Parts: sequence; C-alpha cells; structure tokens
Amino acid sequence: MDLTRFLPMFFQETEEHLAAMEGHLLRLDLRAPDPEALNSIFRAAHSVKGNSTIFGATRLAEVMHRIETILDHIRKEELRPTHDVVSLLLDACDAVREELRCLKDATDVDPAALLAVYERLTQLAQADGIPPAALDDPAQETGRSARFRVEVQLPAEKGITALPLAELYAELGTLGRVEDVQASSSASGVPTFSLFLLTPERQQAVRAKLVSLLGTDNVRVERQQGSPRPVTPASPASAKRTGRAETTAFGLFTEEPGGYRLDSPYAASATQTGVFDTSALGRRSVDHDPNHSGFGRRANDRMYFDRSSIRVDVDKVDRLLNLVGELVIAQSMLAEAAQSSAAVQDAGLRDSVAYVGRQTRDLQEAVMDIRLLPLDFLFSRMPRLIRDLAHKLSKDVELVMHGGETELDKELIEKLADPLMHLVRNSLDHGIEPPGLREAAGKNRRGTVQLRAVHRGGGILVEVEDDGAGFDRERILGKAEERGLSIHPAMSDEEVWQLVFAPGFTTAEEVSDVSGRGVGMDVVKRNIRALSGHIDVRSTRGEGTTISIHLPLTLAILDGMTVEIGGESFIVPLSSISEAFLTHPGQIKSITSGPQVVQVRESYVPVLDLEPLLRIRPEAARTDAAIAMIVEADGRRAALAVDRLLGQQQVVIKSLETNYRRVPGIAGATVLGNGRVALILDVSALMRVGLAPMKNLETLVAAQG
Amino acid sequence: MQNLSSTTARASAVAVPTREFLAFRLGDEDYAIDILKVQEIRVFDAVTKLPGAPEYIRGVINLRGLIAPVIDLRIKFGFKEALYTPFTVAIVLLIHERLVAIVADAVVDVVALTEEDVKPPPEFATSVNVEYVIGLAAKSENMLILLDIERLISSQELGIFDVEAAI
Repeated sequence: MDLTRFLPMFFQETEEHLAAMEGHLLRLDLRAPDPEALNSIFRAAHSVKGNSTIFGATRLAEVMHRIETILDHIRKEELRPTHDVVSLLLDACDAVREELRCLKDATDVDPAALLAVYERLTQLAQADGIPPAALDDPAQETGRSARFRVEVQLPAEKGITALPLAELYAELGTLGRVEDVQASSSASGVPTFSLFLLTPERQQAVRAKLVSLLGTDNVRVERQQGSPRPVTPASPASAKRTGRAETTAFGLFTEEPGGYRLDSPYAASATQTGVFDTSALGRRSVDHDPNHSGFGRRANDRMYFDRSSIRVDVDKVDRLLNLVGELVIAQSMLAEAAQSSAAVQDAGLRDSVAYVGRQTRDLQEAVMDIRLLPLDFLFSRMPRLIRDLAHKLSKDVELVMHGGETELDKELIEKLADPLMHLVRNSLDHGIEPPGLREAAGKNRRGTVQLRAVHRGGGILVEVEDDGAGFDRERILGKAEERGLSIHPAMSDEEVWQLVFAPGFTTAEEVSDVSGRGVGMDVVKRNIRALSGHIDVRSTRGEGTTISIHLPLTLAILDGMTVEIGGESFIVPLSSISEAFLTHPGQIKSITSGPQVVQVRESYVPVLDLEPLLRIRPEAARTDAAIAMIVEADGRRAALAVDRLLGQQQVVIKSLETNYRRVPGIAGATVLGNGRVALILDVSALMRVGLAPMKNLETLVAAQG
Repeated sequence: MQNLSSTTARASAVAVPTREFLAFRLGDEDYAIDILKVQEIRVFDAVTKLPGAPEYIRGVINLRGLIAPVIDLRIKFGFKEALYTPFTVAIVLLIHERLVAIVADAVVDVVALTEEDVKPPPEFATSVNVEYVIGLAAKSENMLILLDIERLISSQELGIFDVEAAI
C-alpha cells in the first residue's frame, strides 16, 4: 500500500491552504488583526503541516511549524503583525509553493529559498524577545504532560496505509501532541512506525486507544523520562539558535547536500523507494514498489497535477444539471414543434432539430458525469473494517476487491456506504465460518470475501460474495415461522432468502455486537430501495452467499415509461416493468367480486388497484380494453391497468419535497416535453399498500391454478 | 395653516413606514399580501393533479424546473364557485424558502399601506380562516383583506409542508 496515490490530493489541498493563507494575510488589518482571520491562517498552516508530515515533506512541515509559532505570538498579542512580518509570512508561502512545485514536477529542489525563509522565520520568533526554546518546548506547553514513545508493528501483510495513518494521526492529536512520526519497514519486511506523543493521558489509556485504533496488539508505549527529544542528527549551530524543539525535526536542513535533495523521492523515474525514501528523508520508509507507484505514472502525466481537477460545490453542479434538464425539455418542445405539418416539409429544419437533440443529450450526459465518483472512495474503507472484524471474531479472512474504478453518482456512493458495510459485516459474522470449522469442511482455513462492482445495463452491480456457510433454508424457514411470517413449504429458495429482509429477522444464534440483532437486513433493503435499486441473494449451502445490489448510475435521471391512467400522465420506472400487453376481454377476472387478477401465461397476477391510494381509475377499467403492465418489486409481481403507453424516455427526477411534501405512492416528479409535470410512480410502495391484503390470495390462486 | 398641515402630513408619513402589498381578487373579495413574499405572477395552466391531496391543492406546476404546489384559496375559504378563466393567475410565493403558487381570479394592484391604513379585523369566533387576516384596509374603492400569507401557507392546517418543515 502506498501513499503516492494521495499525493495529487496533497498537492491540491496544500495549494488551497496556501491560497487561503495568502488571502487572509493580504486582507489582515495590521492595527487590529481580526482574531478569526488569524485563526483561519493558523488552521491552514496547521493543515499543511499535518499533511506534509504524513507525506514525509518534513521541511515543509518545519516551515509551517515556524509560521504557526509566529501566528501564535500574534494571536497572543506578543508580536505585532507589522508590514514586514506579513511580508515574511507571504514570502514563506511563496517558498513553500515553490518547493511544492519542484516536488510535483520532480525537478531538483533548490533549498536556498526555503532555508532562507526558515532562518528569517526563526529570527522573527526570537526577535520578539521570547526565546524560541521556551516557546517551543513541549514540556512547557503541555504542562503536566508526559512524553511517550510509541512503537507499533503492523501485521506483515497489511502494510501502512495512508488513511489509517492519517486517521491515527488525527486521533492521537486529540490525546495530545504527536511528533516525529516515522514509518519504516524492518529487514524482515514488517512495517512498523514509531512516534512520540505528548499527552496528559496515562500510559494504559494511550495503549488502549492505539490497540483499538490499529487492531493490532503489537503496540509498545514507553514513558520517556524528562523530555529528551529524539533522535535525529542535528547541527549544533541550528540547535544553538533554535533550541531543542527545532533541532531534531529540522535536522534535514543541516544534513549534507546529498541527503538534502528531494528530487528522488518524488521523481517519476525514481528507482528508489518512492516518496518515503530513507536516504532523502532519513526517517521514513515504506515498502513500495516503484512499478506500481501511482505517483510514478501520474508524474509523467503532468496534466494530472496542474489544472486537471477543481473542487466545485455540489450545488453548482446540481444547478447546472437542472439547467441542462430544462434545456432537454426545451429541446423536446422544439422537436415537437418541428413535427408539425408546416415544419415537417423542411429537411434543413428537421436535420438541425435532430442535431440539437443529439448535442443536448451529449451535454446532459457530460454534466451527469461530473457527479460520478469511483467506488474506490467506498471500497477503500473495507480493508480496515475486515481486518478489525476478523480480529474481533477470530476468523481468518481475505478481502478481494474488483472494479473499484467503476463510477457512480456521489450521492449514491454516500448512501451505499452503510448498507455495504453492513453486508460485509454480515458476511464475516454469519457467512465465513471459524477456521476450525472450515478446515473440518475441507475448505481453506482462510475465508474470502469478494467485493465487486461492474456496469450492468444502465446501472451498476455491486456484489458482496463470501465462501462461507451459505444460508440455511430450514433455519430461515423456522425463524420466519417463529416470527409469524407467512411461509409455505413450496417456497422457492429465492423467496426463502427474501425472508431475511423482513424486519427484525435474524438467525444468528447469539447476538453479538457485530450483528445478529436483526436490525440490519430490512434496513439495508430499505436503503437500497430508496436509491431505486434492488437486492438479490444467491446462496448455496456450504459454499457461500452472494448478495447483489443493483443500482442506477445516478439518482438524477430515470429510464421511464410514460403511461396514461385516467387522463393523467405517469412515469413508471423501466427497471420495474417486466412486460406489458393488451388484455383481451375476460382476461382480467375478479375474485369474490372484489380484487382482480390477470392471467399471464401459466400464472395469475393480482391487479394493483390504484384508486384507493392515488384516486385514479383507468378509463379502460370497465371496458376490458386496458393494457396490463406487469411490474415487479421486492420479488413480487403485480399488474397495473393503464390506458395508454405514451413512450419510453429518460426523465430528470425532481423532488416533490423541495416545495411540497412526500406523497405516498409517488417517487418524485419530472417535467415532460410539453412543460407539464408528470408524477413518477413508486411501484414498490404501491405494491406494499395495494397488495398487502392480497398476498394470501395470490398464493391461493397459484395453488389452485 | 395649509403649510402647517402639509408639514404634519409629511412628518407622519416619515414616522409610519409604508409597506407594499399585492392586491388580488378572489371571487368578489379583494385580498392583499406582503409583496416581498411574491416571486412572480404567471398564467394559470398545466396543473398536474396530486393524488390524495385535499381539494384546495390543485396540483403541481413546473416553475423552470422546480416543482411547486398550487393552492386554491377560494376552495380553502369555502367560496361557492372557483372558476378557471383565461384571466385566472397563479401568484408564486416564496415562503420559508419554498415555492408555492396560489390561484387568484385577477391581480388588482400594488398598494402602499401605512399602519394607520390598516384596521384590525372584527372578531369572528367561528371562522378559522379569519385567523390569518391581519387587518382590513380601505385604500381602493374595495375593502382590502390583509392576509398573513406566510403563516397561512406554512400552517399545519393547510398541510402543504411536512410538519417538521413548517416553522
């Protein structure tokens, strides 16, 4: 695992922080500096320092640290922010930026500028009369804090990943002050890292926190006597001037020029170990295969860093999407007008209208595309989850992920996070057997959980597969009966598996804190439904379970069939329609003169009565000329009687809730080509309400038929 | 003397701030609402019915890509007839950052009223709708009924917004 793929983010963020610092500095009122502005600058500097530390750009971190010190003086009114002070801080920003640019372009870094700025910053910190040693002495800063040396050995196969490290850093930051994070690989390839933590907490508390954070017991926490500062070679000159706190961390500046060049660690061509090159940075090294260095690849592709990505407020994108949606409507109005008898003769007009239509669709797709993010954003959380859980459950599990590059709407990704984590958790808890059991069953001791994402049709398929025990049909049926769910022995496996999605259902023998309280699967299913997706289960006893989540690419658009029912237009999501046909007289039959069924080949499908819920009634209801549209949701089928099929189209989904409220049975609204609003039917909700009393009837008819 | 009275008039005009109201007609009654709440006025057409909504919610319309409900206060207030003619307009309001349209038979005028112009409404014990009347004003030849449109539209009784959204 390497940090290099996060480098572009680091560069981008640092740029933004620098820009923010500059902005505030330039606007700073020298006579009465606004504390909020100072805080903003301080925060930005602090972020840059933290990020630089993580990415091993120690020199940047040290410069930022000096800036922080000076800002702190200003904040405490110990130093007046004169014009010269502000100029110096701006110079520091420039120097940092220049260094960043060199790192980015993998060109040689000229240390002179940064060094000069550093010297000036240090002098300033001194000039205000407060000895810098005292300023920065952590022991004074933190009062009764003790210094701990923390050493962590990670399980060999895990490596040090950027995210946990960043997380760890942040978490420890809440305990106290973190210093000198060093990551390295021991000769045997075991990744370890060490750091110093200054905290008022007790040793046990620190250790407990680390163990829970890292999921490994290989944590050593030692209390340091006094506060001897570690450990890097420092030049006496620098030490004299800047005091203890500076020397170690800034040791790099005093090293010989050879160790000073940062070109190799960042360079694309580096045959060394990548970012954490020990020779250059002295204190970090992470196993890192240069051939797989995402950074190496991207460094060649200069565009990637430069102006290739911008952060944009989602609202702006949505506004753009909305405007394009309007354009699509305007375009279809134009197309309609071009169909009129007068215009239809004009071949030129026809061509232009068709051209505008194509371009509009392309534009719409391009705008939609802006909202898409790779699923990696979600998948990257899983290794940690699996590791923690496997440890907790004493199971041996390997995680295999495919298709993380598959892109999906940002909103969908966010809302998919919880359901997906739940499914993975379930796989580990219920699916994968303990190693002993697996061995006895002739399986590999180590279980495998696979996470896959692929494009499928107009949407996306995300699967969680395990090679565990599989679902136990009898046990599920037994539990279902206990819970009073309607079951019958002839149920297909698919129907049985659907039972686990019933509220409060669990087959776990013991309620663990991982899963088994039965508050999960129904929520998972509801969440997925809310994303207009659906969930399938395939399971084979003893071999494993696959849970498939089908999702649309985006929530903003829907493939729909426009239908007319009782004089109003409605959109039925195409994903829920299985077929539609013209009924012949007598094909729709009523039962006990009440609910109706329609015969579809071998089976009878209940007709969904929309009147009680939507107060609409197909005109054709009594004329026997209705079109029966067979819809599916939640593994059930029903027929909708519609008067006319008006055509299939992609519609932009609009919320009714923005200006009104939720309407039962309606998933949303859209604007048709003629500018009118059409409502989108929520087939699943309609079936839940309209079909509930007919459930038994359906099985009754099936049994008789 | 004349001088003096005109000075007094000017002084009182300064002291009592005037506010502008949009006057519109429902049946043969004239109503006035705070013009700052009015977003636009448009022709009433192409309303899509909302299933299960009360009768006074005529449906929803498309306001440049946003879906807004249309309320017919004539039905809500229990008018005998609510006709839709070519002169029928939809007054689009922005209430608590939500767009809502109300149906009116016609827009009458924009009137500036001072607090002095507004008389408190007589107290009727029976009618709920009177609750939303701020006062009465006789600015034009007709009597103007001042509505607290914000409170009316966001009232739970009208039920346009989900409960938690109505402040």
